[in-house]
Amino acid sequence: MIGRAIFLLHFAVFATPVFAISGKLSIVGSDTMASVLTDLSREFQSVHPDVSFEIQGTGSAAAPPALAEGTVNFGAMSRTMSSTELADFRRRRGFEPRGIQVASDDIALIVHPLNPLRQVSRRILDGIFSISQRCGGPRYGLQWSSVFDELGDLPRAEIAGLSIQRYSRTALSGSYGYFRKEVLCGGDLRPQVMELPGFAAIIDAVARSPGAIGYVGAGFVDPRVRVLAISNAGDEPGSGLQPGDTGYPFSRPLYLYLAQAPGRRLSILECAFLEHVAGPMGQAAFTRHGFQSDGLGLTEDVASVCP
Amino acid sequence: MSVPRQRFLQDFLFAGLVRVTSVLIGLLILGMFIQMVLIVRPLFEQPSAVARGSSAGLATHQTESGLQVLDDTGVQLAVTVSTPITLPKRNLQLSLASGPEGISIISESSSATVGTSSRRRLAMPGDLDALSLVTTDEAEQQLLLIFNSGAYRLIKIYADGRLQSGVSGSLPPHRSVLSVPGRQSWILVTEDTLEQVHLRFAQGRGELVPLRTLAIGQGLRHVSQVSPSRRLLVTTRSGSTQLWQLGRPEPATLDMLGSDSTSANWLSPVRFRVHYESVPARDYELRDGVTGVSAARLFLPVQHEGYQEPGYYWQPVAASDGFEAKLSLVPLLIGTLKAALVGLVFAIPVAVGAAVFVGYYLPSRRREQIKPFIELIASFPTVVVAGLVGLWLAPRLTDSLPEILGAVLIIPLAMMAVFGILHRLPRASGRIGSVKIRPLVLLPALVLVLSAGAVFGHWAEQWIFQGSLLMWLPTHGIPVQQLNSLLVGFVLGFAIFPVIFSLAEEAIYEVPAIGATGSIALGATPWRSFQDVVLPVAAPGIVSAVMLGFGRGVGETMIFLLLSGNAPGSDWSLFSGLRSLSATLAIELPEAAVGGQHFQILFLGALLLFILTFVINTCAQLLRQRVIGKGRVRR
Repeated sequence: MIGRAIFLLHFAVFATPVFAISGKLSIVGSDTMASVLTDLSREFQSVHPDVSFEIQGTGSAAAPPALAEGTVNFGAMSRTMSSTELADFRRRRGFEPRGIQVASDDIALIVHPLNPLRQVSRRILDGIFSISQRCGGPRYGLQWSSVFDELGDLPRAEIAGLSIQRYSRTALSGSYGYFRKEVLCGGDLRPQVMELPGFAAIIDAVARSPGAIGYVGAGFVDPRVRVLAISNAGDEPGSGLQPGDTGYPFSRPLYLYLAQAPGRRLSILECAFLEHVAGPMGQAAFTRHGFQSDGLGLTEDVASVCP
Repeated sequence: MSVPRQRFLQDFLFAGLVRVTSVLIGLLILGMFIQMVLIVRPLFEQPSAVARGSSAGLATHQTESGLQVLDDTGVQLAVTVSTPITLPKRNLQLSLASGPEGISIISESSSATVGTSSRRRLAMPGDLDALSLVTTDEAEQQLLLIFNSGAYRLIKIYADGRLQSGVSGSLPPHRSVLSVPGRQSWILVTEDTLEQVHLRFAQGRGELVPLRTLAIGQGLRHVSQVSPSRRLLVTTRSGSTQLWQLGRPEPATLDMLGSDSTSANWLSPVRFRVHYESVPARDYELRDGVTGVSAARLFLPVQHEGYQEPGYYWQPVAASDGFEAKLSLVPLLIGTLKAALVGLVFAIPVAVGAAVFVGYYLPSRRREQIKPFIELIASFPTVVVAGLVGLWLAPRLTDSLPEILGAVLIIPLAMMAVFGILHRLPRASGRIGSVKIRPLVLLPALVLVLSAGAVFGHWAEQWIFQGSLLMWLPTHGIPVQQLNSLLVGFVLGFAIFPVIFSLAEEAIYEVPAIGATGSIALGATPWRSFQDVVLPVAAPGIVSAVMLGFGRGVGETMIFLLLSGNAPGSDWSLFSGLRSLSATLAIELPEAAVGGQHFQILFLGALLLFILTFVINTCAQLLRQRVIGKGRVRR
């Protein structure tokens, strides 16, 4: 009740008509996209100084409810909306949200540089991270030695006796959802998997402890950790793909969702921002942050919502 | 107005104000409590339905008394055999055909990247007409065939389209099979029960294992499909309708639907249509927010679909459809209590020791100089402490774990040794000068003892733990994480130390000096006088200080969020991480849909946290008031 009152109050205060390219754009959602969106907003502001931005990167799950309530212009999501989220949106707004894929993000598996692993397969990851082993992975013991023993020809590593420390994002992030669904075949993470509130924290934790393994967005990787190659089929050395390679298996789409009622046009401000995102400057920003954005047909998508 | 009268009026108004304020605060707390109870209540309510009009205009879609097999939303594969089954994730098409050898399964890779489409065939014994379900698991790794007789067979699907016959086995004979969202478990419909089976993987091989039996009791007439929120509607022979929530042991009987229904089917996750013998079909909707969670699911071990064994698991959400929520509050409670207890272990000796020294031994002037500085520690925001101290400490703690453990463990040993020696010595030689030079003697001694402990730890690592404690512990079944309970406890101890110190010191200082000075005048040593005269009076105050410190530890959030690792394990090991209630609330509450099951369970956690801290704090306050009262009486 009070929430609704505050929500209505927002309308009374902020719903002022927009005449020129000025006003406020608010984007809520994916933490992965927060930094690139901040960059994009800064570039946009250098062209249109009267526009202010409010960007919240709390996690993809925050986008659908905020979009359904109509409190934001765009919902940034690092996954597609689930059918329950779509159903909830339809129930509250009566139409479908529109998602525009703006880039894709490769999920990189990282370990400490002391770790002799260079390449992993889905099966090994399933064994390390999953409790239900839905990809048919083995059930490893507590120590790295059980992983190394199974793989055979790894150099006898000094970290073999250490506990496997697994790091993940918190359960509400899009990356977690993606990892669970695509890497673990829909299985659950073990209860021992530690959940940290950001990729930077995961990289930090992995860089600090030799027994650690974690997953991060490829754009976040820094030289303190080693990125593992992913082999699609067996465990033969050299068959793995690095993030950014074509055919890299763990690549997920990044979306900007918008609530465009049928027959209604987006505001000039919203369209200007979308065109900026699809333009060369916007694309350069995505590349700079380690995302891939070619071949998505982004310009056509934007043209279809902003004629 | 005369002065006394004015004075009286002022007093009266002031007293009234104080009383009103305290009542208001009480009401505020009560209001928050009631609000939380109201949010949580639907969790434990029986579901009910409200009518949403009759669908009289529609042709009465009467399903015969026979059972109907409905498919899973969207992706479910048809039972009809002739149409090929597409596996979008694997770029494969499967089709089944009758052959001389029995059933042949043909896989055709339709991917352009693989090259020319390749065809593979697998033959297996069986009769195509006796099949009751053909499906894959969610990851499309396994093809599952279930026959009416109860026999089943799993077939592994490789990326290149190769098929390999896997485990086969037998299940109860049944009339039809229902799919549960998530394609990890299925329900076999027999004459009067529903048997849920789940696909479990062990060492790379899947098998179908019975999970639970839904006893209908009165004979089945019709079963609906399983809704995305894992509910199914069962119409019994007597015409009543039961609502089953998978995971709850008991169904809810929806009496408001009448007792001559023939079938009930879902229209949406909350809306359903009921057909009747005599009257036209009617639509109903489940009352909003009633999510039905049994206490057993929250507090007892639960066998989840696809898991190896029952256990306490917290995984309330995942951004995928058909996800079975794991809602055990046990890991969160264990995590919270474990951290608070470890925090107390670190904080109590230091805080109470410092309180005794400052409140009893130190002259008032020195006391007033040092006390504010110790209390200043409380003014550090815990997020800063966690971020700076904790993250700096985390790698160092694990790197020099044996040394630190040695130093921590030697303190009680050293204390016992010192007490033992002092006890045996003649009384005069047991004293170490005046209170002023005592720290000058004791601090170096403490440093010596700690160093000795560290050296001992280092030595023990070399000789007892085969050179590395970090590797010795996991070999013996104890995993060591860098973000572990010791680290959390240590930093938490730092946060609750000033709370305990401040209150315990107050309690000791409040004890009237007359008893202590009197006993010293009669020849007792200061310690003896403290032990026998001051401590008995101050003890309830010290205990209450510890309890308040515990309450503070339980409610702490930022330290947990940054340093505990938030892994929802349910063990009491000091070397593994933990997930506390407060950090879970901080992470998940902002994202939980208001009024949803996850939201309500988080509030149940919040309510437990509130009750825990409220009870602890109230007890501590009562204890404190007793001791303050005692002091006053004596004065």
